[in-house]
Amino acid sequence: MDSIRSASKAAASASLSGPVLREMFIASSTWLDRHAEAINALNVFPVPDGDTGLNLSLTLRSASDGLPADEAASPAEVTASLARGALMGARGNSGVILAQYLRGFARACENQSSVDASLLARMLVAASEAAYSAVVTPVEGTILTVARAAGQAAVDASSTGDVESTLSSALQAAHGAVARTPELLPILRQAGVVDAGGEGLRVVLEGLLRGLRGESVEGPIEAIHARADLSSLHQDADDFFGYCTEVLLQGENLNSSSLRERLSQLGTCVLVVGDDQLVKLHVHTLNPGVVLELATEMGELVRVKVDNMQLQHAEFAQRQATESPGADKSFETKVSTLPGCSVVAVASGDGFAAIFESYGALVVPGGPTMNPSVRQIADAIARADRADVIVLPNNRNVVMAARQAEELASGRNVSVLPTDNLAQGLAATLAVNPEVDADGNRPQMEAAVARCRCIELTLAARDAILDGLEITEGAVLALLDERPVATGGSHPEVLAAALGLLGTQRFELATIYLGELASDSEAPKLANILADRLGVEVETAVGGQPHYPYIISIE
Amino acid sequence: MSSVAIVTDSTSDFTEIHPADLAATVVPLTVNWGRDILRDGIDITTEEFYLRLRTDRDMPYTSGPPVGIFEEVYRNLLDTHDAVVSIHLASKLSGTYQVALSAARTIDAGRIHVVDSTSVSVGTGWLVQHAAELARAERSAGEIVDAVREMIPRLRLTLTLETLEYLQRGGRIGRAQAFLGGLLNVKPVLEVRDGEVRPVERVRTRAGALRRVAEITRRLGPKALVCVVHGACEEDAEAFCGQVAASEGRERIPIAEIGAVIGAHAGPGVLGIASLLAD
Repeated sequence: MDSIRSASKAAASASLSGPVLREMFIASSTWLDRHAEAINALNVFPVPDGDTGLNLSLTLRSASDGLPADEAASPAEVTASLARGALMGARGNSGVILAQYLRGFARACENQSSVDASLLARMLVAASEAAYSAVVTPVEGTILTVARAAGQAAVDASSTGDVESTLSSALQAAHGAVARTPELLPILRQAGVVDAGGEGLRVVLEGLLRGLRGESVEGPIEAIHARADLSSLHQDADDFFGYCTEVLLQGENLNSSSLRERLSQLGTCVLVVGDDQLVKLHVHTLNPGVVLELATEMGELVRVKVDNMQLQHAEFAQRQATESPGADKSFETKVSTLPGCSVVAVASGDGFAAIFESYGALVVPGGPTMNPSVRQIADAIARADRADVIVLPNNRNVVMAARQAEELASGRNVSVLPTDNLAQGLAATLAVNPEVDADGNRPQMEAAVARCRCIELTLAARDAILDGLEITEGAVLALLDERPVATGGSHPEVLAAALGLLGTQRFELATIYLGELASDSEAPKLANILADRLGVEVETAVGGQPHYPYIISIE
Repeated sequence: MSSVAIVTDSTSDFTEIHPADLAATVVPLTVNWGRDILRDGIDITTEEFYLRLRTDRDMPYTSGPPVGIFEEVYRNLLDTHDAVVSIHLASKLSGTYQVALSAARTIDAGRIHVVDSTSVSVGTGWLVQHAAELARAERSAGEIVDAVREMIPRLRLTLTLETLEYLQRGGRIGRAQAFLGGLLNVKPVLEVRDGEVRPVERVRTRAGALRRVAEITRRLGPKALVCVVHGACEEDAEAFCGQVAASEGRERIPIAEIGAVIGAHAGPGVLGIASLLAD
C-alpha cells in the first residue's frame, strides 16, 4: 500500500493509473460519508426526507467497495467497476444521478490504460453529460449545474497537463457553482440552503483530490456554508447517523442522573447504568470527543467503544444487498413465472410492510429517510412470481431508482407506477388483480391513485418560509400531497387546517396510519375531525412509519 | 301428468315464485347449529336463520343432504315419472351434487340426470324454473337437460360481502383467500363463475363496492334475466335495485333473498346481482 501511495504521489502530476484512481475513490467515499450528515441538513422541505447525503454516500460506497484491488487494473477496468457498483447501489434520485455521472465518467475512459489531464477533463465532461441525460427535465441550480461547471473548469485547466491542478480547478468551480445554486433555484433561496446534491458532488470531487494528494480524509471536516441546523436533524436521524459511543467509567461519587442529563444534551439514546463507582454510559452523538471529555472530567476511562453508525449502516445495507437470495441472478430472465401481475412496493414501517404484504406485494424496505438501492428493488423484482411486475416507489425520491431497476430487469415486463406516497401505493396495491396482466391492471391502479389524497403530519425539522407558510422548528407541519400546507401547535389543529384545502372533491373513506410517534389518545381526535369534516368512514391502521406520526389517506 | 320430474336442493333461490308453487322437489341441505340439526327450509326458515346468526354465540356449519334422502326422493319420483332431472349448486362449493350423483347410480342411472349448475342461489333457481316449465310442456328429459346445460355458461353472479369472516370460516374462499385476506378493512367484490368463488376487486367502502358490482354487471352486455340478491339486508337491496335498474335500463329488478346455507357462508349483508346473459 505504501509503495503505491508514494508512487502515486510521484506520478500524480502526469497521469492517473488504475490503482491511483481506486485509492482516490475510496478516499472520496470516506470523505463523503463524513459529510453525509451535513449534506442531509440541506433539505429544502423542513421534514425528514430526501436524505441526499446518505443516498449519495451509500451510492458511492457501493461503487468504491467492489473496486478491483489488482495493482495491474487499468483505469478503464477501475472506472467500469465503479460505474457498475454505483448503479447497483444507487439510492434516491441524487444517487441515481451520481451513478449516471460515474457511468459517463467510465465510458469516456473505455480502453484507456492511463488517464492524463486532458482525458480526465473529458471524463468529467462526459460524466456531466451523462448526468444531464439521466434527468427527464434537467433543472439548473442542482447537482447538474455543479457537474457541468466542474467539467468546464477541468477542460480549461487541462492544458497545463497536470492532473492534480485539473482536478483542483474542477473542485474550485464546483465550489462556486454550489454557492450560486440558491440564485438559480428560488426554492433553495426560500429555504436558505444550497443544493444538497450539488454540495454532495463537490464533496466527492474534494475527496478525490484529497485521495490524489494523499491527504487525510479522516480529519475534521469544515462546516458547510449554509444556514443548516444540525441540532434539529440530529433528533430525527439518531439511529442512522453519528457515533454510537460507549464508555465504562470508574470513579468516586459518580452521579448517574446528572451524567444522564449532561449526555442528553450531547446526543440521543442515552443510557447510563451502574453505581457511584462504576458506570457504563451509552449515547448516540455527532461528537464522541465531547462525550469522552465529559467522562474524563468525572472519572477514569476503563473502556471506550466508538462505532460509526453510518458506516455500519452502509455496510449493513451493502451486505443485505449482496446476501439476499437471488442477488446475482437479478438480470437473468426468470424461467418460470405465472401469468398475471406482481407488485413490488417500497415501504417504511413494519405496519405498512405487513399491510402491503398481506395484499401480496413484495416489500422493499425504505422510505423518505432511507431510500432503497436499485439493487434492492431489482432483487425484489427478481423474486416476483408473476410475469409482469409493477413497481410502486411510494416516494418521489425513489422514482428514479425504481426506473433504473426497471431497465435492469430484462426479460420481465416491469413498469413503474410513480406513486408519491404510501397512501397512493396502498390504494394502487388494493386495485391490483394478480391474475390480470400489468396492462389490464394499470387503469384501475391509476384511477385508485388519482382518487387518493394524502395528508402527512410531521414535525418541522427547522425554521423555513415555504409558499408563504412560515414554519417554525418543532412545529407540527401538514403536507397535503407532498406540499407543506399548514403548520401549528397540535396535530388536530393542523389536520383541520389541511382539510380545508382539500377542495370540493367528495370522499368516502379516510384511513389513519399510525406512525412510531403516534399517540393513542390523539388518534381518535383526528378520526373525529375527519368524520365530522368530510362525512367519511374512518379506519385506523398501524403503519409504524418513522418521523411521520400520522399519514392519512382520503379516498 | 308430465313424465319428467325436476329435483333441486334448498340452496336454489327463486324470484317471483314460491318454491312450494314450483313443480320441483326440493331436497334440504342441513344447518348444524350447536346440537340442533336443522333441515334448511323445513326446520328453519331464512328469516329465522339470519336472526339466529345475529344473536347466537355459536356459528352454524352446513352439510349436504344424506344420500338416503336423495335415494328416497328419486325412488318415489320414478314410481310416477319416466325420468328425473336433478339440478344442484356448484359441485366445487358443495358435496350435494356428488351425493345426488351417487344416489342416482344406486337407483337408476339411466333415468336420473344430475346437473351441476356451477352456480348458486338464483342462478340455480333460474335453471330449475326453466326445467320445470319444460317438464310441464312435456318435453323429454334429454331436451330439458340440453336446455339447462345451454343456460349454464350464461349465468353470472357478482356480489359484495359485508365481511369476509363467514367465507373464511366456511373454507369456501378458495383462491380469493390470498387476494382478500389483508390487514385493512376491505369490501370484496366477488363473482361466482364456473362453480368457483373468484375475487374480482378489493374496494374500501360498501358504496364503492356496490358501484363496482353494478358497473361490472353493466359491462356484461345484454341480459335475459337480472335479479338483485341479498342476505338479510332488504333495505340496502331495495336501494340498490334503483341503481341497478338505472344501469341496466330496466324498469324494475326483482329481489331474492339468499337462503340459509349460502347465507351461512356469505354472511349477512351479502348483496349482489345475478344475471343470465342473453343468448
